[in-house]
Amino acid sequence: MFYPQEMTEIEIIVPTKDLFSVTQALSGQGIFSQTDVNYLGNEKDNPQPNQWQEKASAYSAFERRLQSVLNSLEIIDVNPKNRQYDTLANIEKTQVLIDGIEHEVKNTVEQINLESKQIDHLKSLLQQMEPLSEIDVDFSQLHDSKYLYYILGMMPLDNIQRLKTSLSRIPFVFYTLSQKNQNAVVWLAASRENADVLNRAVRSAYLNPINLPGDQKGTPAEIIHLLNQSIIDSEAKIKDLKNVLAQFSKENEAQLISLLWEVRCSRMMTNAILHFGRLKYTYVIAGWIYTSYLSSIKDKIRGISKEILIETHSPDREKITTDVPTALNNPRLIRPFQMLVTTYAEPRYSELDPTPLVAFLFPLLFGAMFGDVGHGVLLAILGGIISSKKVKALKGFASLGPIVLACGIMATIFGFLYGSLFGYEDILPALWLRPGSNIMTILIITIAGGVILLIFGFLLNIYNLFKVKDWINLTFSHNGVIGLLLYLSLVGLAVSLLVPSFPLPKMIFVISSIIFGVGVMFSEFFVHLIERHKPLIEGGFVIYFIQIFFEMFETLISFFSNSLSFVRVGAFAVAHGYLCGVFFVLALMVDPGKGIGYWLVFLVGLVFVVGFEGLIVGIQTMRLTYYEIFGKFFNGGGKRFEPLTLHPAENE
Amino acid sequence: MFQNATSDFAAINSRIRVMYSTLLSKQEYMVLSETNGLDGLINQLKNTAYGPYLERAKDKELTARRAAFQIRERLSEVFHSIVKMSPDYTRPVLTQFYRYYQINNLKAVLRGVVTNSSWDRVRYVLFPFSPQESLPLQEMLETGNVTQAIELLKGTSYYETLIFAMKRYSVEQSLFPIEVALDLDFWRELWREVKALPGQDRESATHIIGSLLDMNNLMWAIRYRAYHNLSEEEIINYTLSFGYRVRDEDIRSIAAGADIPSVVKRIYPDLQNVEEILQDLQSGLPKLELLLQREVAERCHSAFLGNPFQIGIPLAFLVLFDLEIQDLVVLLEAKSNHVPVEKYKDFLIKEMQ
Repeated sequence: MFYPQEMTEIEIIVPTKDLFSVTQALSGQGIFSQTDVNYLGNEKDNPQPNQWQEKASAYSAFERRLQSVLNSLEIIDVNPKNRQYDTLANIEKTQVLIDGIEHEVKNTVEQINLESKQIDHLKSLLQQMEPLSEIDVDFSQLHDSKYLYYILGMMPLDNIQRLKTSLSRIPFVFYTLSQKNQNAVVWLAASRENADVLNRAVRSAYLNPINLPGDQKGTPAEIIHLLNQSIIDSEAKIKDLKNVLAQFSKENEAQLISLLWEVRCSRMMTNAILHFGRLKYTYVIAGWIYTSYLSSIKDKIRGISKEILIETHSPDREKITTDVPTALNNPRLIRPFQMLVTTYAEPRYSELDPTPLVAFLFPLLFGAMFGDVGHGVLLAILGGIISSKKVKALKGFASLGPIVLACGIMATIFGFLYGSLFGYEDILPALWLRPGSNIMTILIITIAGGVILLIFGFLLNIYNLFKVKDWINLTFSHNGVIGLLLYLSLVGLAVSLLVPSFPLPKMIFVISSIIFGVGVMFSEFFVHLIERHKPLIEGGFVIYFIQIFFEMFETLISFFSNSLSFVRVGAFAVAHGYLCGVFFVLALMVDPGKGIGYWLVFLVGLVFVVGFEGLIVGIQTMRLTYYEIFGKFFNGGGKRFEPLTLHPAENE
Repeated sequence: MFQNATSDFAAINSRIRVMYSTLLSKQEYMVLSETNGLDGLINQLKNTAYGPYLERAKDKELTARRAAFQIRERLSEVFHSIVKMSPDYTRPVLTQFYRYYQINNLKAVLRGVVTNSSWDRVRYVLFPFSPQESLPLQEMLETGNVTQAIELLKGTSYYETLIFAMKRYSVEQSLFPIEVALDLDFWRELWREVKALPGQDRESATHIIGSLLDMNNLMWAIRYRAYHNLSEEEIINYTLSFGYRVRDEDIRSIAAGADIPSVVKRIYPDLQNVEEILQDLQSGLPKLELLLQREVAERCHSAFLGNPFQIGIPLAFLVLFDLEIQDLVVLLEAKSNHVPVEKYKDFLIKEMQ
């Protein structure tokens, strides 16, 4: 649990005939991560052309086409009941099947699209006709006029006068048929020989012509009625066509989903095989497997064929390597906290997995900052709801649910310790202390707690370096032994200065601080000396001394700021009570009689405290975890273990 | 309202007179003109009231375009403070007047869309508006499509105007109808606001705004005929029927093909050498425009001589300020392109002799 899963490198040489069975045996349990070795072997050695590439492309195309059909049929792509697809889908048969389905669905879908386009066209005509609806004239009678040229259209009211002026040199007739807002529907006519002038004038006056449908006769109201009727007819047709699709969907849903998954699994299998090495008569499968499953997998593979060769190699955890993929190995209860670790960095194979520490510290620090029984219970309930995945809107946050739940529980526990219930501090007795009344005490305790955590961080780093036998860094790095000794000396010096009754004399800490300070300052020099690195000092004495002076300064500042950083835990514990107090004062100002107004403000305060303060405390907790604690011992940089999956549902 | 004009305008009048005194003098123009290159001009401008605005940008960023943007910031701030100080009943005119820059921004962005320009290229050509009053110009530019860009104006006062112009755009694929529609709408609205002012305010605003409008209307009519070869009815529809000195008959006679110098001479009898200038319309029009701008500037200066408690003073100052910035932009462009003083001095509204 404290280290990632133990891994073994595995290489399997499989005759072509057993390829499929072996691939299936390796997938499915999430214990095998494939390494791409398709560079092994070449086309010359292999009598068979590489058909896997073509197959993978074919399956990929089938999957896309089927998904498109499913979309048209509004079928949701769910996991099928059958989770085992033992063979690859036959490409020819699948092709015929999909062609048939597409043909059947496509015709209906095309008809729906045509009708939809027709509706759009009719609606656009309707939109044009709308301004004319109250004009009781049959414009179609003027369609074929021989001498008269007329234009019907809509234009800004402001332009009318100017348009009339611009037409003053020709005889014309102008009617404003209707007005709405700042627009007018107008009809103007002139003799055909002046059509050019009329067109230029209306165009420059921003008149937008209304084109009446040539095939429609009657007044605008009658035409609008006919258009509306046509829209209703088209909508009815679409409804009927959709019913046909729905019927098809109902009859074929299970078969379509099954076919999609068969194709999908075939695509994934071929994609996996594409990454295998291809020799003359055999394939090479390489990858990493959980050591704990090694013997059972070996048995399983040998059960398939005696001709399969298996070679394994166990990497040395004591070597710093980033080649071995990392699969974290934590009990179910603390697994949700892995997300907090991997968000920071993927642990290396040789490195301690900080998840157990985070699972303990994160809720603890959160609870200490947000200690309140009422707010803690609310948060825990929220965490429970998120984890249950029953609220659709919160489904995307499901992985955060257990973390919120744990933080809520810890906040409740601290609520009892602080005697705080929804910010009221006079209802529950404080089992430990009330932060608001013991400000200095809580601040000192949290700094002391922070110092202990930092020392623990140092120790974990030393342990990590010890495990990989990195003796030089273990001894001389700023987070190694010498750094720890300097930190302890400085802490001792601070305590002996602040506590007069401290039993050890200050001088001890002064001397040890100087010794270890010098050690930290010259750590690089010592490292070079041990490694026989030349030159011992790079860049000359002056630059070297300036450099080590500033490095020392930075180290001391970071020790100081890292330790003081934990004061925020106490500060937030105090602030929580006062923040609630502000809302109580506001509530009393709104309604001194503690009526509905009081409780409404209380409710607003509750939402603010749980939502806003909760978020800020969460961010602060994350900051402490990432920068003050992880920074001491956790490097990351590992490669994530990606299990071979031939059925996407397996990952769930 | 009008009876309180003295108290309404007392503070703004004294403030504007202070700002009026910061307009660049002839001597300052001479000094600016004699500077060496763009850097010299910018350094010299830093010693004027534009200094703090130029200091807002790093020296290496101060290209001619960026410097023009910075000095426009001063106009933007002055506009705001004038609108804020003005009596309530005059604000609609000032606010509408300020929209002139918004329209120019819209035109610039739409041109940017058509020429596929990046935001970095366009942003400093624009007039600096505060984010609260600015249109979604960057988003418009980034659509890369005029129709979609205009859709982003839904809910603004420009949208209705542009709907009609958009039909033309979709057929002609030219920004001309859009720009004309925006201009016509702007001036009509401004004229309506001017006419809604009471007594002396209306009279002086008609004087100042009317002079500007006359200049624009006349120049449009002449350009449409001389440059665009538009028909009579098109010229009439693309111009306005009102103004201070320019009458509808003048515009209609230009549209109908009348002799342009005679029409201009009839409207502006004091203008010198009009016939000579307009002998060649192509080269003469910018010169005519410059003469008309100087005429407007003169009219604005004279507004400071009469009754100080009316809207004419702030309007005149804003017009003068804008004209000064136009001159500075000419100077910046000239200096950045190393144009000698003899070549650009005739393009400055402020006469240097």
